[in-house]
Amino acid sequence: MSQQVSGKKILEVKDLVVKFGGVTALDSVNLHVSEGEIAALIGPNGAGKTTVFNIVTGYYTPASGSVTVEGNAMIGLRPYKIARSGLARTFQNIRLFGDMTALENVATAADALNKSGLVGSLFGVPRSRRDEKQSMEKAHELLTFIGLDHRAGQLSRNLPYGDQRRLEIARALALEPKVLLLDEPAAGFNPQEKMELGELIKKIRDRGHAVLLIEHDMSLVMKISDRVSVLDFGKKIAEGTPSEIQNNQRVIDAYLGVAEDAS
Amino acid sequence: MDFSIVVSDFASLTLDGIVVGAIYALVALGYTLVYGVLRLINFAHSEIFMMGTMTAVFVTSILGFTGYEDPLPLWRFFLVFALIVIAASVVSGGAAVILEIVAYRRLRNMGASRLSSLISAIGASFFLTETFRLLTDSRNLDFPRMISKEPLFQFSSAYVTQDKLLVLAGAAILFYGLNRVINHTRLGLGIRAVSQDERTSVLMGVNVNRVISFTFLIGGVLAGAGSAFYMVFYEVTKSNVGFLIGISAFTAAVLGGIGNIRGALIGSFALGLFQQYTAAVLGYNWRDVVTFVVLVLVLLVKPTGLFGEALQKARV
Amino acid sequence: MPDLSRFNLRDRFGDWWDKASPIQRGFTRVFVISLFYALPLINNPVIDTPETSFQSVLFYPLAMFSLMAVGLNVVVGKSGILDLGYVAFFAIGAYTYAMFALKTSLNFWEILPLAMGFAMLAGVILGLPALRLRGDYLAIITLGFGEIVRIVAINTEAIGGAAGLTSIPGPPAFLGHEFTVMDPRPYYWLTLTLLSLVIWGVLRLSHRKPGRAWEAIREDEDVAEFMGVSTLKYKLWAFIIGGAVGGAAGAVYASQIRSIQPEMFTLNLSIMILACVVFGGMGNIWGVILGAVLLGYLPEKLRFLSETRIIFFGLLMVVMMNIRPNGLLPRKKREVVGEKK
Repeated sequence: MSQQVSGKKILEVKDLVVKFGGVTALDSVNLHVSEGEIAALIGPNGAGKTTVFNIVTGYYTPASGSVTVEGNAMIGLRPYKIARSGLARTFQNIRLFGDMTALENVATAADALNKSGLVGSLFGVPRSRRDEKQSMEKAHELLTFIGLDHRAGQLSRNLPYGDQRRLEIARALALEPKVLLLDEPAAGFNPQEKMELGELIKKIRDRGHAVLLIEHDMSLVMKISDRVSVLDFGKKIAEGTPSEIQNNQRVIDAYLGVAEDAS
Repeated sequence: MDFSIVVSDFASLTLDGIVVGAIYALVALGYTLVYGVLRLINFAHSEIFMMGTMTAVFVTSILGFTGYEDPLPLWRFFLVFALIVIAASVVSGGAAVILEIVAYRRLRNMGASRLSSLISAIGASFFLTETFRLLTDSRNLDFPRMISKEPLFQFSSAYVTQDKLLVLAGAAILFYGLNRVINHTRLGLGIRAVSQDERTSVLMGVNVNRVISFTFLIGGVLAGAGSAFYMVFYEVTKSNVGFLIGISAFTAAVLGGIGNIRGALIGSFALGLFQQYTAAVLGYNWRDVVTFVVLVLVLLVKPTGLFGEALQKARV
Repeated sequence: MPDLSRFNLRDRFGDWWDKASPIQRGFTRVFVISLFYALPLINNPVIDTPETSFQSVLFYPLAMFSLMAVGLNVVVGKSGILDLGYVAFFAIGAYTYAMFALKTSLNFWEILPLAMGFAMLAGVILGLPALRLRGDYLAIITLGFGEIVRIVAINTEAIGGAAGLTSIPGPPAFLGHEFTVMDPRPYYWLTLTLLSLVIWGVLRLSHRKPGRAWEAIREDEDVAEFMGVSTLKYKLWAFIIGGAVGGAAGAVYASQIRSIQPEMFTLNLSIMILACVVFGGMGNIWGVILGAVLLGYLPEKLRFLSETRIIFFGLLMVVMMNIRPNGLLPRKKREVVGEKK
């Protein structure tokens, strides 16, 4: 597993500071994801994990800090540009395009990578026709890869829960991301499904996408991650291999401490 | 464009601006309160105001005024005027509550999209405007002059008349009353809670439906009272009066920061003044264009307004 | 009482259409289109309208509303942007045609692209700043835009002021057909042709990348951005297309009616077109045309409705949102359920 990690950093987050009103959501956070790596981001609820995703994908602008993909600065770019630069994500609460079919959901993302415009589509110029064909083929291919080919023509709002989660992943993959950001992809899964998800994530990594994973299921995280970063109250409190993190006292305190206060 | 008018008539323009601003404020509060609890612009609020003006005219006609009488003695005027204010407030308040139930509540329960709610609101607004247009035969309705509009005294270029003082005094009383309701009653507390965080309010046992109805009621009452003051000051109304007042009041609410009560007040006075000054320079026909331009600029440059909360941006 | 929210005309027809061969489909298209072109030739008291001639009604409001509804549908129905000021494009198209026709020697065919161009420009001007806003606020701005255009028209003497423009020439004869003031039929056929072209164009776009982008924007604008869709570009295009169609409609209207005043281009008209879209089926091109036809025709046919037209439209909008928010012909897709391999 670790041999595939080349050490070349694809996504780098440096000294990220994020404030919402008076609250500091992220306090000088440093993260990175290397090529071929499955990295995990864990921490108690409210630690700021999804905020990291929101900043990195361009939804909010940080107070200070930098985010780069293969050296290219991402801060200040509009989300759609960042998506085309290699960062694609899924969402904690599934956010598919409900009234569109599974195929259309994936195709919409696949479309983003070609340069065809309205005029071309209208008049059926060769490049547009080619791009259309490619988008459709890519969408089919991804649905097959994820195991949802038989659902291609169904409205995504009508799919069973597990299929919806996987469809979100397929849609994100259509952007050919350098780093795939998964936000709690295993939520609501039973152990069997979690295991299948773990295998899927590894297959995705083998296809050439690095993965950054937010997850609460520790066994899944420990099984498939190469490296784990831990956030608590907006600060990174630990980083290392899964076994290192499991035995890290600060991490244990952070989780246990929160559990005690919550009652 | 003659800017010197603003200087020479400054006091007069300022007085009128404050008076108009007070009327706007009474309407703007309705927009801002409803937005605070529902995150929805009550498009039909302007028609609630219009219905208040119609009620005011109706009451005067029932009481037998023809518009040709001499001004009333002050005590009689206050009696009559109080009656008008109460009637208009009741009608507007009641209409607002009914409006919420008919046009918005069901959609809210169905979890309908904002587009649907907005379309429903627009439909309601047009339904009311046109209904009254037919009822009034598209005519202007006049309000009888019941108090003397002779200037009591003059301050620089401003002629201070009784009706202007009435508007200012009445608005002040209503603002004070609103403050007491919002800050010193349970339902007012409910409004503040729901405005801040609806879900938690529900968990804390707040009856959200009742709070929302109450909010609409308050907004309607204020608009109704405001319509009475409007009629004393302007003395004429029409079925589409709601539209223009509504645009100004709404702009005022946005300028001050929609959802923020203090902002609605300050925005209203600011807009009232601004309208007077620019109308003096550009002429009254451009007043509405100017108002729209202000609205657009505020929404583009500082959508949160002067004091406002952040525009709804769903947390991803 | 049947479940009104689920009855779906579209599926019934769609099932048949899917199984039809290309020849059957071709025949159907030709048949239906011919039917519409032949409508002005019908002279039946059952469909006749009391106040104005049926032929005149066919042109306005039926064909005109249909054309505008299809244009507005791209903005409201497909992209989910509530536009309350659509009349602005109509007005700009009409005034552009009138001014150029009166002041220059250009004829209708030469001015038509100009009218559309100005309306498209207006779409960009309105669109660029407005698109940074959401939902309610955007709607208010579009409403403001519509009103500003009207007020500017009233107050600008150079384009006629409150009195408007008169003696506007009509289009030159086309293939032997004269465009006279008396006969609305050539105008109807002209509008019908434009409508067909627009329908063709919109359908083409809908089934490809732009259609998907618009739908994604309507479904979840934020997520569309995250999935690489340039929402600003596509929303702008929606406004531009909507504007172009509205502008074209305005030009044709001005060329028929031969005299225009600012009071013709009111908020009421924007709301009427919106009602067609909402009632007929937001996002569904056939739905909005059906809506336009029904809402255009019924007030002409039934006199009491004619007086209370707007009241009816307003009430309709409230009722529709409560009972059947997706309109008569919903835009829901037809699903294909496959077998798991």
